[in-house]
Amino acid sequence: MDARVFSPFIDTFFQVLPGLGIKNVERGRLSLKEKLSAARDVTALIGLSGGIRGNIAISMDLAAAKKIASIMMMGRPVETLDDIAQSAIAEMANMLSANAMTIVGQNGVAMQVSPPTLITGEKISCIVSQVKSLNVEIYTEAGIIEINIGLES
Amino acid sequence: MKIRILVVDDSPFIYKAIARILPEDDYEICGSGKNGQEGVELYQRLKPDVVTMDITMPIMDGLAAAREILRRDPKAKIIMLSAMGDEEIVQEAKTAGIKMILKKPFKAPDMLAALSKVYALDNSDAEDAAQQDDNYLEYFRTALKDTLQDMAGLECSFGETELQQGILESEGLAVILGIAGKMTGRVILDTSREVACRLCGMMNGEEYGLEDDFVLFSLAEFLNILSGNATTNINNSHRGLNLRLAPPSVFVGRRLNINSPKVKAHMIRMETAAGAINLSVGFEGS
Repeated sequence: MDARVFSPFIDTFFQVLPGLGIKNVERGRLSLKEKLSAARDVTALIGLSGGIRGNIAISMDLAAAKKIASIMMMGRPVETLDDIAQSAIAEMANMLSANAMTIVGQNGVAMQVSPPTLITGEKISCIVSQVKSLNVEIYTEAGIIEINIGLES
Repeated sequence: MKIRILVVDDSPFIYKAIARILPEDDYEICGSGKNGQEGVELYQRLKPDVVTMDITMPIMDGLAAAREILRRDPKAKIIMLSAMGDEEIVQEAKTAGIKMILKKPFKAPDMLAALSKVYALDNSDAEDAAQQDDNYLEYFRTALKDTLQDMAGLECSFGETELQQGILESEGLAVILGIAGKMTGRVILDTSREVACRLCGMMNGEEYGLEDDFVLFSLAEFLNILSGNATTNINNSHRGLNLRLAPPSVFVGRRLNINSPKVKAHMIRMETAAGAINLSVGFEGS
């Protein structure tokens, strides 16, 4: 698979996060996995269909999720990841995927995205999708955000 | 409380077809008439929630009967069943104030969708719009029932439906599948890992353990197939929606909470011989 198909899903972080007030966005480790999986505390899952079919899972630890929600809510302290904090994370995921959809569209491919579903819990042992996927760590001031991109060729 | 249906049709075949697809828990046929005249009399006596009315019938045809019923009760909820060649009458029926016209032969989900939509009509656009989701829900309900039968040989009832608000507390295993197109949303199959193992066993004729990855792949494929059937039928009946599916993902964990803040969802709870299986179907911004 052409590695360039992945880049819109990474570039979108650099375009969206600074606009939300999240600073120091840098790309970290990049690895290829046999299955799409994400095992951090908080995961936003978004389905892709149309010209590109697959899933992206945006995953982070609870501390990072709370910090991001706090930044998005103008610095309001976030003690627990309650309904409002969760919808902030979902909104971030929604913006990241919508922006990626725009970039993909500019490349001449019509991709559609589904609304984000947020998964939280203890010991999430696995997330499975039977496709090879790319795992990229994005470093931010709030902590690491991991994006897992699983595309069907 | 069950929704009471009056069936007015000169064909016993149609009566049977309707009786067969109505979920017993939610509907009852409170009466049946063989012609328009009987239909008008029975409506007066039984005051049903919804009437299904054939167009071509002896003595008094369906259109004349519907006009008479609507004259006496302007809020009467009537579904006209039209056959080939009834096109002109269909136009007349619309101008007469018939809310819903269904073509024969009809598919089970289309009839159920029509019944629930017409039943919920309250001369208010808001409710009409909200009801739209329930229509799509019927396609998934039917697909779940059919797929359980086809893939696992499980006979099931139509299950119970409730509005699903806020966070879904998973039983332990959730398959999530995104939907995009003219409408966007997601469908989630949720069950316990034990039930998943039993269901997988029934689908494949072998026994599987809790740690077996094959169970996850089987459940993913199960949701994929049932959602494919549901959306194909929705797309065929609602031109221009063009719903498309993303591949399924499976989540397993303890105290798994699932939240789709942008989605309004309904939950179908199905009791099967393998155990409880839940299907949450939700669309965005409705």
